[in-house]
Amino acid sequence: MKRAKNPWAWFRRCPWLLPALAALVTLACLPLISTTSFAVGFLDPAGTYAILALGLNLLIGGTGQFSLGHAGFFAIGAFTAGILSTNYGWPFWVVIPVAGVVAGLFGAALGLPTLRLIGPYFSMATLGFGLLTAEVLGAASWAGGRTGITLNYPQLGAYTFDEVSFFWVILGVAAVTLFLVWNLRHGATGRAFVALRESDFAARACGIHLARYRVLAFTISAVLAGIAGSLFANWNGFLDASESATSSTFGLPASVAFVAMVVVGGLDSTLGSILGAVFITAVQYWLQDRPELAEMLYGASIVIVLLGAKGGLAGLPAMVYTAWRNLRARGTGEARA
Amino acid sequence: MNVKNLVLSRNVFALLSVLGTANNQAVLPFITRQGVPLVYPATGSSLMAKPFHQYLFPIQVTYTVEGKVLTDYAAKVLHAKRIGVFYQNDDFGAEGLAAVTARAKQDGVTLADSEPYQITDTDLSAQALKLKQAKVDAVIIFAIPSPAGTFIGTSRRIGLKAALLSSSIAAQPALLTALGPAGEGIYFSNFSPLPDSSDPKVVFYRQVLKQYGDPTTTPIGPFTEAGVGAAEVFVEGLRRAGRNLTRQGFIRALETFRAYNGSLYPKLTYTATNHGGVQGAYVMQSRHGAFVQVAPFEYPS
Amino acid sequence: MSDLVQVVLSGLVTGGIYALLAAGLTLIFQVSGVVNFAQGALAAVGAYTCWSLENQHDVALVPALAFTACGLFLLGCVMQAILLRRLAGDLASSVIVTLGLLIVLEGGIGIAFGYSPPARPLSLPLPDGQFNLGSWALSQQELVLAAIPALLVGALLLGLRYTRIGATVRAVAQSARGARLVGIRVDRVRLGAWGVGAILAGAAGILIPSASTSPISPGMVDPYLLSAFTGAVIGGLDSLPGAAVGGWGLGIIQNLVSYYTPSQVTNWGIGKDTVIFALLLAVLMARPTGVFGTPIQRRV
Repeated sequence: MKRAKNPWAWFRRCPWLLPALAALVTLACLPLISTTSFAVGFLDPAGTYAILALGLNLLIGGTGQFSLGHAGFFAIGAFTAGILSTNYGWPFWVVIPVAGVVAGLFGAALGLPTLRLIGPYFSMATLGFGLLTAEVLGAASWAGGRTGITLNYPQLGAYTFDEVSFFWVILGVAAVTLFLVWNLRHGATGRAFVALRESDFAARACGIHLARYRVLAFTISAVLAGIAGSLFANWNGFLDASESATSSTFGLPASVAFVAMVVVGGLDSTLGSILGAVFITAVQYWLQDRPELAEMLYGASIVIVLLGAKGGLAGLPAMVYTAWRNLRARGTGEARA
Repeated sequence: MNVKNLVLSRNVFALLSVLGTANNQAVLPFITRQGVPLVYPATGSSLMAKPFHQYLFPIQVTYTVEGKVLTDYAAKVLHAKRIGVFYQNDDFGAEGLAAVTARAKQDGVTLADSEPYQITDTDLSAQALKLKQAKVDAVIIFAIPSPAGTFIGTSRRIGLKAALLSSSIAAQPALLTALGPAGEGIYFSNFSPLPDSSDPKVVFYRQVLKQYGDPTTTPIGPFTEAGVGAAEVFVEGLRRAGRNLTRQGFIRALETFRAYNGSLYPKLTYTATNHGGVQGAYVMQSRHGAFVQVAPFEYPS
Repeated sequence: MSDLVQVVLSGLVTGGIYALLAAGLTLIFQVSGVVNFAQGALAAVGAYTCWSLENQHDVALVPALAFTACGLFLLGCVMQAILLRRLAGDLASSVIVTLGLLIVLEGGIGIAFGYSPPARPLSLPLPDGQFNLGSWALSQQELVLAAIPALLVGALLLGLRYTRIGATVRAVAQSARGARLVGIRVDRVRLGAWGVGAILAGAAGILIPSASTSPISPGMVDPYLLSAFTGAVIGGLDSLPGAAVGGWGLGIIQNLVSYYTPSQVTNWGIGKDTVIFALLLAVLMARPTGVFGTPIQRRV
C-alpha cells in the first residue's frame, strides 16, 4: 500500500507503529545490561524460537494441523549454517538466508505430498520427517556425526559478535519476521488461510486454491524454522545431533516444545506465538537445573490450554475480562457473556 | 549452556564432573576461554588429556587404555584368537574400537568383526548374530549400561559363546541384577577399587555413602565411587592450594600431585605439562551378582 | 538359515511389544477418535506399579499383575472421562494433548521413583535354556516373550469378534452416531476402550525389561512407542488386526534391515531407523490409512 509520503498520515493509518517502535527500542537496550549467561539462556533462544513460532503459527493457523517435525527444519537450518561456516568459511549474513532457503526447499518437498493428509496423519507424517532428519544428522559423519560441529563467532567485517551482541541480529530478524507474518495473516493470504481452515470445501468453491496456500504456509514455516536454526548455530556455537530422535534441541522433544509455544501463546494470535516462545524459554531457563520439571510444565501447559483456555496467553486478558464481567454479573443476574 | 550459566552468572570457582564425552567437548573451549578448572570430566575420552588442556583434570581412565587392557586380557589370559567389538555409534565407542583394533594387531589376534549400535535401538540381535557368524571367541563392549545389558542378554539367548568384556562404563550393579543368570561371568575393566573391598579408602567411601546417601538412588557402585573419588581429589587440591584460594592457585596445587594415593584412585599424577589421570586399569568379573577382581592393575604402554 | 530364524524370532519379541502398544492405540483411536501418545506413559506406569508392588511392598507376581491391571483400567477411564471428552473430536489437538500428557506422566514417574534405574529389576519368571526345533536352537525366554503378546492380542481380537461386548465396541468404532441410535451407551464403551487400551499398554511396559534385559527407567518405553506408532500407521489405524500386524511386521523388518545393512552405511546416516521413518512417510503419502485400512475416498 504505497500512498502519499506524508509521515503523519502514516501514523494515523498505523497506530501500532509508535508502541511497536518503543518496544523495539526497549528490547534493543536489553543486551546492554544483560550478562552473557542471561543472553545465552534466555534472550537469544527466546528471540530465535519466536521466529520459529511465528512461522509455525502460520502453518497451524493456515491449515489447522499441527506439525510435529519442525525441529527437522530447525536442524536443517542449523546444520546448513554449521557446515557452510566451518567448511567453507561463508560469513553468517550469507549463511542465514541460505539456510532459510534450504529449509524452505525441504518444506516445499514435504508440503506437497502431505497436502491430503488430515489431523493425526499429517502430524505423524511431519513427525516421521522430523525424526528422520534428526537420525540422519545425528549419525552422518558429514554433519559432524559423533563429534558435532563447532562454529566460530559470527563476524561482520571487523566486528565480532558475541552471544550478547548477537541478540541485536536476532532482534532485527525477529522484527522483520513479525512484520511479514503479521501482514500475511491480516491480509488477503491470511483470510484465505482462515477460510481454508474453517471449511476447505467452501473456500475452494470461492476459488481459493487449496494446494497453493497449504504449500505456501508449509514452506514459509520451514524457511523461518531454518533461519531460526542458523541463528541458533551462531549464538550457541556448537551443534550436536548425536542423540538424534531424543535430542532436546533437534529431536522430538524440541518439536513438541515448538508446538507448545504456538499453542500456549494462543493459536489465533500472531503476537501470541512470540509470547508463547518467551514463556517456554523462560520456563526452560528458570528450571534449567531440573529440565524434567521444565518439560513437565510445558507438557502440562499444553494440556491445560488445549482443554480449557484455547486463547492461550494472548487470550488471557480476554479471559480475565470475561471472568470479571461474569463475577459482576452474578450480582445483578445478567446473562453470561 | 548450564556450564556457561554456572560460570558466568554464579561465578563458580571450579567445576566438578561434567557427564559425557560430547558434553565435555562442548564446554572445553568455553572453560578454556574463561579460565575455569574442571575436575573429573566424566568421560573416558582421551581427548581430555591429549592435547594437553590446562584447565582439565581428568581422572577416569581413558577408553583407549581400557581398550588396550581388555584386548590384552582377552588375548593373553582368555587365549582368544578372534575378537569382536560391540560399540556405541559415537566418539566414545569409536575411541574404544580404535584402541582395540590397534592393540589386537600388536597382540597377534584377529579383529573379526565390529558392530555399532545407536542409543535408540531397541533390538540388538542383528549385531549379536553377526558377531556370532564371525566366530569370535571374545567380544569387547563399549556401551552404556542399558544397551550393554540388552546386548549381553541377547548374546546369551542366541547362543553367542564368546567371552564378554566391557568397559567400566557399564559396570553397574543394576545391570547385573536385570540380567540375572545371563550376567554371570562378564568381564569389566575398572580403574577404581571394588566397592566392597576392605581397603581403608573404600571403607571410608562406604561410610560417606551411608551417612549422606540413599540406598535406592545412590547405591554402592562405580558411579557413586566416581563421585566420592572425584570429590576427594578436588578437596585435596583445595587443601594444597591453601588459604588464599584462587583458580590459578588451585590448578597449581593439583599439579603437585605425584602418584597421589589419598583418594580412591591409585597413583594420581598431574604435572604442569601432563594431566593424564589414572593411566591403567584392572579386570574384574561378575560372579553371583558382585564384582570380583581377577587381574592386577595394568599400565599398558 | 538358523540365523534368519533367530533374527525373525527376536523381531517377533520386539514386534510383540509394538503390537501391544499398537493394538491399544488403535482401539482407542477407533472408538474415541484420539491418537493417544500417552500409551507410552501408561506402559511405564504399569511397569513401575508392578515393580513397586513386587519390590517395595513384597507383593507376589500374580496379585501384583492383577492390581496393576485394575489400576491401569481405572487410569485409562479417568483420562478419557476428565480430559479427553473436552476435546470432542478435535483430531489435531488430541495428538498434542496426549503428547503433553505423556511428558507429564513420565516426568511424574521420574519424580516419584527417580530417573536412574533402580537396583532391583522387574523380573518375570521366564524359563531359561534352549528349545530345540530340528537343527535350530531357540531361546525359551524369547519364545515365551513372543507368545505372550500374541495371546493377549489374539484374545482381544477374538473378544471383539465373537462376544456381545465386542460387537458393541465394533459398532461404536464404525459409527458413534449409529451406535447411539440403536441404544448403545457410547460413553461407557469409550471408557471401557480406554481402560482396555491402558491395560494393553501396561502389559507392554511389563514385558519390556525382560525383552531388553535391562533395568526399568521412566523413559524406557519411548523408543518402543515411536516404532509402535509407525507400525500401527503402516498397518492401518482403522483396522485393529492391521495395526497389530504392522507392529509385528515392523519388529521383524527392523531386525532384518539391521542384520543385512553393512556397518559402513551407518556412517552416512542411513540406518534401520532411517529406513523405518522413510517407510512411514512413504505410506502416509501414498495410502494414509495404512496397508490394511480402508482407503480414504475423499481426494483433496
